[in-house]
Amino acid sequence: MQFNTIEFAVFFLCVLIIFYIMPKKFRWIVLLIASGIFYLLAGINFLAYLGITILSTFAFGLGIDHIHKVQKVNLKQDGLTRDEKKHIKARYKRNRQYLVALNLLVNLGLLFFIKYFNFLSSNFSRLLSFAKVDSTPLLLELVLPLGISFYTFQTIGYIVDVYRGKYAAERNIFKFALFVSFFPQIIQGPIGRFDKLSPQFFENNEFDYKRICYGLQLFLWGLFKKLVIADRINIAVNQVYDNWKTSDGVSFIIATALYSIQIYADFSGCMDMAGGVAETFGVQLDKNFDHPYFSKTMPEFWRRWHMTLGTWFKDYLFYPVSTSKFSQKLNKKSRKRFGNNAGRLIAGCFPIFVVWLSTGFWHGAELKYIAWGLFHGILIMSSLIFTPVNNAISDKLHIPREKLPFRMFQMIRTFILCCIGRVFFRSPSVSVSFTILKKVITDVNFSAFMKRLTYLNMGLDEKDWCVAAVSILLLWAVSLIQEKYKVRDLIAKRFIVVRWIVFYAAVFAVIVFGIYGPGYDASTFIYNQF
Amino acid sequence: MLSKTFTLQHTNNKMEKIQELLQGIMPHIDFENERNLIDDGILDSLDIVSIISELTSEFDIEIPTEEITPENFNSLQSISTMVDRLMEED
Repeated sequence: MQFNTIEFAVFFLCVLIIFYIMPKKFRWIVLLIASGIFYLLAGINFLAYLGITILSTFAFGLGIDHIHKVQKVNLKQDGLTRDEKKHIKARYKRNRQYLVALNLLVNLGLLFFIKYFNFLSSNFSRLLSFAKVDSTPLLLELVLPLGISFYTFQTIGYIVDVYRGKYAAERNIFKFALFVSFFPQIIQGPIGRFDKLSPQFFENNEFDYKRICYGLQLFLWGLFKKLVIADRINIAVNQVYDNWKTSDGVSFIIATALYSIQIYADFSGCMDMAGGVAETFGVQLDKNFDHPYFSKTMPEFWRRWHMTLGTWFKDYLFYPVSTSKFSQKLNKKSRKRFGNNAGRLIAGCFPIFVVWLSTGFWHGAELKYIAWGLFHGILIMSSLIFTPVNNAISDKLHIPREKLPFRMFQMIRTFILCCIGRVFFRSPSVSVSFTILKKVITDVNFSAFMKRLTYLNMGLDEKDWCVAAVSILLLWAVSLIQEKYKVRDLIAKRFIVVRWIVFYAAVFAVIVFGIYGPGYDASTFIYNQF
Repeated sequence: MLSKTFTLQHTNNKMEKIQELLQGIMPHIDFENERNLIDDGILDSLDIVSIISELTSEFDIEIPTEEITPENFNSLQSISTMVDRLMEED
């Protein structure tokens, strides 16, 4: 059930009414049942996969917690020497590690099997064919359960945090099930952290008119981004990319820039809808976007785009890899040999490579996602290397880095780099991506493009282009305001007539200018497939 | 009284040692006065990795991943407090 459907609107309204009719202490149960129904509607088989993840993570969490407690009791014995204490800690740490490893084996195993089996099988068979061994790849008919990449990462975060002793394991399986399956966030995240998300289900759930209004406004804004902007631009992008053999360089430049806006409006729109729905139940989801296209560098972009995935990789992959004994040795040795700055960059290559390979792989079982991930890894490394060089050059040339023109230049540069990456993301394959990039360089003729008025062939008529342009400008203006103010607070301070005009205008825009697809089938979100 | 003075002296010595280590790898940063090394983006994740590498070998401690938080790395004082705590726990 997509957020942008009538079915969801009815479902959400029913849940909201029942939620506030029920006594406060049972409200979380309403959310749990609603989440179960929401997920069940996606397919009963999917519920089985989710059930395995919930049960196994819950059980392993309790096991790890138990070991923590036994360790504490043992360390309290009188007369223990420092070495004995160290030995006890090491023994119990090892036991906890076994349980974490087993849990990862179950959950990541499930994810890998469903998401990557066919990819690995077909590539293995391709490798064999290079070695002139004849083999037919074993391909299984596997359907990806809804939100599996998101909820698997959420549960891994939980189990690692319990292992690290950040918090105690949840002792109520139903409460834990709600943390994993909360329906607004299970499809596309944001990837929540247990200590921040779970307590919110059981407190702060009294009826609050203002909060519900704010939630509905956020939902409406997300709907606008999805239906009016993303789905409209999607038509033009598809037109160019689906006909990549005949499309020219200028069309690709326009379509790729539009795709960058589309994917942002689509994903951040979905996050606004999820956040808005959650807010009506008194739950504040983690922020996933912070106006990423205002970023001046690539590292900044990744701190502002899909933030919960970025921090997940930082906390659970980058730091463990970069502080491992191997990486620490590498860090020391390379700093000693090449100096502190160059040394830390050389040592940093390995963890950055691991993180970006994984980020690409997380997005999908296709080489194009891996290429996209590695491309971003290279950009991050390049930024770390060249930022001090760029700063030195701009200082020498007396270019004021804090002034608007230079910041604009940096933002445009970051956007262009992002767009190059998007070519890999959107193209059907890596080889097609290179063909497109080649066309962008060699097949660019703006005057011919204007003469042919190619935009009319991009699937949108003049009226659609006008709506798209105005909506994108509105998105940009709202984003600028959001950098300094809370838009919903600004609206709330206005006179009641103004508030209702804004509200009706938004509803009107969504109904009239929204793209509803053939037969009014709601189009899926881009990140649904992950 | 004497023991208190000794502890203070010991802590100051350690803080000076940590400052010397940090200044050695990042001479351009004013560790004495900066209070928001992480929050203000003065240190990036690769800097933190280098700091951890120095601290672990100098003080023979293990800095687990869960200790890598802005609160522990925002200032020289907070880094020193973390090192003290980890040495005590060890």
